[in-house]
Amino acid sequence: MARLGQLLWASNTAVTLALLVLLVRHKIFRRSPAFVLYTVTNLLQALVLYFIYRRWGYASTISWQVGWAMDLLTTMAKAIAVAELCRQLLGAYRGVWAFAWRTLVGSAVLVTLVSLITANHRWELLLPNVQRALELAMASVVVLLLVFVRYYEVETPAADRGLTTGICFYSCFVVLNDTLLERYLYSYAELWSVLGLLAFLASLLTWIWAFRKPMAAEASENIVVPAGFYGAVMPELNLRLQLLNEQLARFWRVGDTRP
Amino acid sequence: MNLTFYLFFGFIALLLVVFVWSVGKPRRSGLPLTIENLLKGCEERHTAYMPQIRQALSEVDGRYLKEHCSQTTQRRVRRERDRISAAFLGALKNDFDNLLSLAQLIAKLSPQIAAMHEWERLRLTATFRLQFGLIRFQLWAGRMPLDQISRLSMVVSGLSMRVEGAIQELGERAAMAAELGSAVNRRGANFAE
Repeated sequence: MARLGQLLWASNTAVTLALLVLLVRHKIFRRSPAFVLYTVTNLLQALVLYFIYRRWGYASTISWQVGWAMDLLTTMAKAIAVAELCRQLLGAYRGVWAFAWRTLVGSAVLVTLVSLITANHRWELLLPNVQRALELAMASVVVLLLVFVRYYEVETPAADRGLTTGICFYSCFVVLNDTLLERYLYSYAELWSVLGLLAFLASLLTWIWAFRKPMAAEASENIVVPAGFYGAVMPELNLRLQLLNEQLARFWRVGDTRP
Repeated sequence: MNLTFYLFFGFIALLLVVFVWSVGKPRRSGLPLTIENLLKGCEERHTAYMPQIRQALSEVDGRYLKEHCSQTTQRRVRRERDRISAAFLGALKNDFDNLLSLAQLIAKLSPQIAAMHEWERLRLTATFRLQFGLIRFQLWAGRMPLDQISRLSMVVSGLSMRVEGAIQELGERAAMAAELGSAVNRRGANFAE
């Protein structure tokens, strides 16, 4: 298992480097600097941990502390990348964005708090619990973002679809992995590490696939209707939807009264 | 401990279901999403044909058939009425979808939107979809009384007249937005796909 872990670690570092080359080559840093920063942080984490493990060994306290500190650092970088992604997809629509970011931030805070409150309050699980709460919040934000995208039929570039898939998959996996760790503790630690590396490799490959082609230039101008238009029209539209709903409700009640 | 464990797994399962749903393509009829097309859809409201549907479902016709026609003919008429009921439901759904798309497009193009209206629309959509599914199931199971559907169609006609004025005004206002939209489309931004 330890050998497999080392192999996966080396592969992940190589694939992260390949992703970084791809991002630089396709000038993604201009469009998504936070995601590039997240990739760099991952690479940095691998290098730092390599030297720490070589110097102090895998099971030392300092390795444990530095390992979790680097994990939290990459999680924070990922959170910034998620925020950037939200802005990229919805920011062009001023009204929708103003509504969406409040909802997304609100849900992220709520999910983080609930996750922390319901966690097992043992000191050795503090860092895994914080990481799990943040990953769960990110997964929720990404899913909610996609709901907004679908609801308002926002056009999404293929690269962003790949990016969201990779982020969501990895975050969900980390939450499940950390939950299993919380339950089985040390007996699961080795498998926890290997599965985490495997899941991250899958996400890296998804992102490489997503960014394999250069991204098309975005339209710079957005359509905007006059400021008062929404306020004038929307109550009428909602009223009409309400009326159609009432018609349907009558239809339903009619069906219900049959003996 | 156990509850927390299942809570996290359940929540992740829910997230994955919503994720799969949200990355799927929404079911939409062939026309591209533009204000012009949506307005056209809103004008061609299917509920305008309610008088004819009411006639087809009238109780008088039903009684006449019972007295003068064979069992086979009655069965055939009943099947036909089922089909009409389903078509009526489909028409309501079509009207709802057109208005919903128009509302979503306007929200997308507006510099400011009100959370209250957006949540209200979301609530209405969820209610409509749920009721629609339940009624369709009832129709499929043969539990829908056709004579009462006939009475309902009268209500629909009445409501159609009441909202006529509102829709007309809406059309005039949205035409203004359509002009704006077309102007920007000509400059290169494309919201039509």
